[in-house]
Amino acid sequence: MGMQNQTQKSAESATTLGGYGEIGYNAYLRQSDLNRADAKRFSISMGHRFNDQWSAYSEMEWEHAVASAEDVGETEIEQMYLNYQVSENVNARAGLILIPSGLLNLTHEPPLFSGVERNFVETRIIPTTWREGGLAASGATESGWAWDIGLVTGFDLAKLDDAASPLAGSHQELSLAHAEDFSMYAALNYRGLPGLTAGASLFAGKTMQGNADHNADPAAPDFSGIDGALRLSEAHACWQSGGWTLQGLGALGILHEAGKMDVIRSAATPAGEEAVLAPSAFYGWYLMAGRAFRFRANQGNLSVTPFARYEQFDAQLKMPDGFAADPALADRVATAGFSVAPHPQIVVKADYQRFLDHPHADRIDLGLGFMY
Amino acid sequence: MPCPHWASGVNGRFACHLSGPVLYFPTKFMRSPTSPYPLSMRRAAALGLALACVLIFPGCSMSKYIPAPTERDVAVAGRLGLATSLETLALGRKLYVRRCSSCHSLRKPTQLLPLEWPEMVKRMATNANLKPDQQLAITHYLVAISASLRENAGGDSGSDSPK
Repeated sequence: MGMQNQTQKSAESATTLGGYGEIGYNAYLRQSDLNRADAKRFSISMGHRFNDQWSAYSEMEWEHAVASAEDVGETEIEQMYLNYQVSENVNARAGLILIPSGLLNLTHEPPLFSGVERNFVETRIIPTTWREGGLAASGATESGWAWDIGLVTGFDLAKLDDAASPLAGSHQELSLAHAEDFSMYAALNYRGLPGLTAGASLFAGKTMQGNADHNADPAAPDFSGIDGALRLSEAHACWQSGGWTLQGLGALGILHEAGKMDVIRSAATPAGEEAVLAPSAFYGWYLMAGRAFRFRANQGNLSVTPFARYEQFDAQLKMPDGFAADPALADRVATAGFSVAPHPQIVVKADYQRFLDHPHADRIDLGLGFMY
Repeated sequence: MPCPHWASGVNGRFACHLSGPVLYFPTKFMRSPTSPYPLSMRRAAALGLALACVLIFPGCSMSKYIPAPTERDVAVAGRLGLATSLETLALGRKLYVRRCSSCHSLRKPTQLLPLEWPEMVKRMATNANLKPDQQLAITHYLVAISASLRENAGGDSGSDSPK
């Protein structure tokens, strides 16, 4: 197909189809019984442009290959929104939208990040892939500033089921989400130089949803009188130039009234079981460097990108008075590996992850991914 | 001078209560010896900032890497079999800078081969709410500039498209 036809045809259709896939293998060096091979994610996205102002976008995803009552897999809608172009520089959205927090949440396709696994900070602290339902607006200036604001559903800490990921363990994902307490977010990024993203975001809102779980089921713990205000702030920078990628991110979550929640949660937990406790503060940060070496081969750009990343996180950085932090929920992880991309939308990855505080978790990861 | 409204926050030292709402001031945290940000995190941030100053800002400019198109770029595109105009390429550059940067950092046009750009732009066109003529303009710009800069660098235009 000639270049003219190729460019023309790609712009003609009002409906577009996309997607990505990700398969991984984790080999634990000291606990081989934990070794896993997994079709981690397969996603299909569809967009449709109704006219010059209105469009719709949706993304469906399957995790872990099989979703059934007996399996851990999930079928989920990750994005589903209507977009209205207010002006050349401003868009408004309504529906199920991704939260612009961190570097990974908006661009989580496997060829776009280093490492077989997503980094721990942007999974345990920032709950990638993080989406909420609500209204949002975004825009960019010609000088390279991009802004996002939104009023969206928030977390339900009454449902907290994973102390290792306080937000991923209490997210609602717009699945019959309790919506008494809405949250707000704002993000500002500078992308005025090719290859550069530097910015920050703040997400804030109450998290007890009017004690809705107890009101619906009196057997559930009673959190009445608790708001559980949450603030998640993060700052990030990514610079890609001359084949180099330098990237860093820091995130801090602060949860108010965690002590009151934990007292109630502990009292409601049956004897002999361990209560899932909410932290007063949780945090994480990482630095990453990589260098892409490009070769002309295979009718395209073959690139080989070695990288190294160091990250540190603590899901219970600060616990309420009277509660002790679980050291198993904090770690420092060094990762080194490489990606091979025979095409910009295809990647094969391998890395070694060393868990400095929990060496029994050291592992080698292998993976492949694609997007289209 | 501490904030007069400074009151007990999560660990008794970093929340400022003003008329009910709890406000946070991250920059204040970074300077404060009682910052809730762990020392390692602050050190990493300082290191990152220093790296940014050293590596990013000197000698960088948008026009250097995302150049304004010229008649030569139109001619290069023509040699690839792509009929376009200087006006279309200029519109494409403007839209590329303005619309694509609202979601991600801008790639240099040479980061992909000319042939690889149409598919990449198509992937994100609906998400960026691009009209067909806008998608076409961005694609023409990236294809033409990628080919033109490759020629400048002494290579071929990087396309095996039939001429």
